Amino acid sequence: MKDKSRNLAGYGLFGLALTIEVAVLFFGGSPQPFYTTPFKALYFALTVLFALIAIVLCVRREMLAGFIHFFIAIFLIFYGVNEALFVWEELPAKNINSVSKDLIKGPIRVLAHEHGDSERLKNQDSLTMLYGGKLTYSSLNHPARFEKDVKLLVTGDGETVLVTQSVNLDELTVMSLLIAALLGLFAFARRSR
Amino acid sequence: MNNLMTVLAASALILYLSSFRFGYMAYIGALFHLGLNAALWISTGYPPFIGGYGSMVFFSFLLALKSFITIPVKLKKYMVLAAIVMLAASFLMPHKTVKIEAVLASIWLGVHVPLFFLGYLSLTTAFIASFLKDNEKFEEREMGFALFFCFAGLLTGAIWAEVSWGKFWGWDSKEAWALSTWLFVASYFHFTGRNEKRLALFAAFISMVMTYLVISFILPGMHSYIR
Repeated sequence: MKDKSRNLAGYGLFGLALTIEVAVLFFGGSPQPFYTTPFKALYFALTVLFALIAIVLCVRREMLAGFIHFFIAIFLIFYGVNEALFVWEELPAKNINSVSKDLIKGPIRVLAHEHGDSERLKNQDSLTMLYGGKLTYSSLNHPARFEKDVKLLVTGDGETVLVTQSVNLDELTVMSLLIAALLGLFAFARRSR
Repeated sequence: MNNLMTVLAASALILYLSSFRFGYMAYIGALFHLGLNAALWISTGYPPFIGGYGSMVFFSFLLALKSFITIPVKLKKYMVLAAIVMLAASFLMPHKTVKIEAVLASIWLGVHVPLFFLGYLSLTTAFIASFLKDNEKFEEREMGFALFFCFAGLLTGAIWAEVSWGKFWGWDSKEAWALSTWLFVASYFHFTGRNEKRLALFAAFISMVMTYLVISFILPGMHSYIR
């Protein structure tokens, strides 16, 4: 029974790895498919499934396998929350014009960009600001509305980039990590009985 | 400088080949190989693990080094053979000096990339060991190292991505394949049967080769700096 559950979990991981590879080959690494409703439902189900498998494995004293599943569950929660907060990245540029125009202060971070822009921006001789203000957006994963300070800049190379104030781990991400940690503690407590 | 590098590479290859007859030749070959890495670093101005040619020279050097330490005796010659194949294959890659992206001028380059190379090194060692009998414990230990180093590589890569690109994860083709390689390695530790374990190991190795050498060439992505 113990071997069966481990093998099943192994095939689960194997299948997940294959799915990711085929999906990336098919979609070319674009994140677009991940914003569709069926994928979100699948994503949520997968997250719960991995957390449950992690608990079961830890309770059965399969600690390494349990840890790996916990890591994947934490990764899925972490990534999911991160994407939920930044889903506005996918908004078309015209939506950005409808927000209030308060200039922002503080450190900035590039979010919508070609690769390496945050480093490249530092090396630009000239930066022209097209727009600076607040962008209100709602996420499909969360009913709450979020507000971010943004800037639209044109670099010396003539490239337009969207940047936002630096946001590190925010409350939701920390909360999800805490939940994952609590689940882990629960599993370890069960194991030590 | 290019002529010097060609001479160093050719010398290392000949010495490695002669080590099948005279074992100590592999050590001298590794010295030439080290010289090649140093020459590459000096001539380009960036560490040898950047770009197709440089990374293959570096990785083949790691394979040769690994053959000297903690390896069952019967495995050593296969490790040297893998180093020879890798070094010879590096000649097929273009090795022109190019200006590297500003994003690579980061401390994370020296952490993230070597961690993955250590993971790939362990995975390659386990793959070779899987063809020889009575090496299951050694193979499992190497897979454990691969699991750890690839995990550390993913983690540091995510931190670097957040610093440079603004988010931890972007489903870039190379990072997604690196994740799936790690998942294959992880599945190895879940499986209890020998056949399943070998399946996971083979899948992980193929996935690693694809991630390392193929994906950047066939799919556009944020990791396509120098090919």
